[in-house]
Amino acid sequence: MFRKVSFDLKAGDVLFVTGTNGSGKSSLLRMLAGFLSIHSGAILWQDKDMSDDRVSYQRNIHYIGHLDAIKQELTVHEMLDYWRTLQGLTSVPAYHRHDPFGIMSLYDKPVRYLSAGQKRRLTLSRLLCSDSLLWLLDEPTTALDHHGQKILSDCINEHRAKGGMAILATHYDLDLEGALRFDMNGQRP
Amino acid sequence: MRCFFRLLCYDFRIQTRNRAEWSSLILFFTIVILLLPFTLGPEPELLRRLAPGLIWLAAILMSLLSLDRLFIQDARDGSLDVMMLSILPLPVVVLSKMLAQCGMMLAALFTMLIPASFLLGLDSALLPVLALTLLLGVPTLVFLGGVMGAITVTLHRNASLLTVLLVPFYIPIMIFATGACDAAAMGASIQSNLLLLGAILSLVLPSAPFVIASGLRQG
Repeated sequence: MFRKVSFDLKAGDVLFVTGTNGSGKSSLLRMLAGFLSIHSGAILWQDKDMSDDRVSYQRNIHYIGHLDAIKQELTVHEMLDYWRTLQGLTSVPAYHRHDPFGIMSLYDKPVRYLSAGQKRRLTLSRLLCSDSLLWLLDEPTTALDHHGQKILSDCINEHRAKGGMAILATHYDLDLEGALRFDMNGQRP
Repeated sequence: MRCFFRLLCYDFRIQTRNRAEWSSLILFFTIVILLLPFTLGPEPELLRRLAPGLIWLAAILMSLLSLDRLFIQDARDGSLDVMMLSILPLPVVVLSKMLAQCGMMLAALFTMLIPASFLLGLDSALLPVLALTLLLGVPTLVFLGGVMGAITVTLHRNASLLTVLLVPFYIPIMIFATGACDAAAMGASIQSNLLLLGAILSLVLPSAPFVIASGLRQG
């Protein structure tokens, strides 16, 4: 699919993966999330090969893909609580105090009535449901309005300040200071 | 543990709120039961004798039809990715999902069991035996369905492959279940058949979540 892809991230780093359609951005992110196996080469997490213990590596990850991963049958707060339960959390959720994406106004609304942008905001709120060090965001700004994009940049910056990392595959430039870039074009074999 | 029950609660909620799909499955079951007498002929004695087998056939067809709900839909809406990255162990997440599916399947079958047995003129003495075989057999069907669902999801194939893979595994369950009903009809002991059904269930129930989890991770 591609070759000679190499980069490393430190705490607080953010990386933009750019490239034309079909250049392998999404595949790269899915590999980093451990969903796709890599043919050759290695992904190192804290100097250890992640394929040795993929399950514990994956605990450090939030992955947001093209799909919203939303269950049509639940309401907004049930959806958030479901995600928190999957992360093993039963305490009072943080988004009650801190709700940047403004989804609490939709608290009891069934998810199937949300617009595409609102669904996106709900999906992005998953990032705040629990702490994970590495955020992998595949086209996170799809269907998001300008205000939403600004909120997302703020969230990523806050995450970086706490020592987190983020890798974004996007065509839209979010306002992130000191972001690293990696171009997938020309990485084809 | 608390998280598991909470998850189970949500999985049940997702299932019970999906009324359209479950009512279409119940409708399918009813239609099969209603149409079979037309193909077999209207003799009440024949239908009475075949009733347990026919109800089991309808149950198997219904469970094959519902299998798309296991993991294939999750893969389609992206929630499989979230499940894979959960802090809770994947077999636990899988088990909760499977139990909810099992519960709904049994609930749907048991709602229709009495009307169906009435329609086919099933001997009322056989009804408890039939119910018992369904109770022991249907969870096995669902869990085996889950295993195959996990395999087909990672192979990115459609559900038809799933059906082909599953049918050989369903045959023994069908044989033992209808065997128990036949034995009861002839006044023989049903114990051996029920014990075999129970043995298969107790083998499949604890092992399937681990098999499914490792199947899903192969993606």
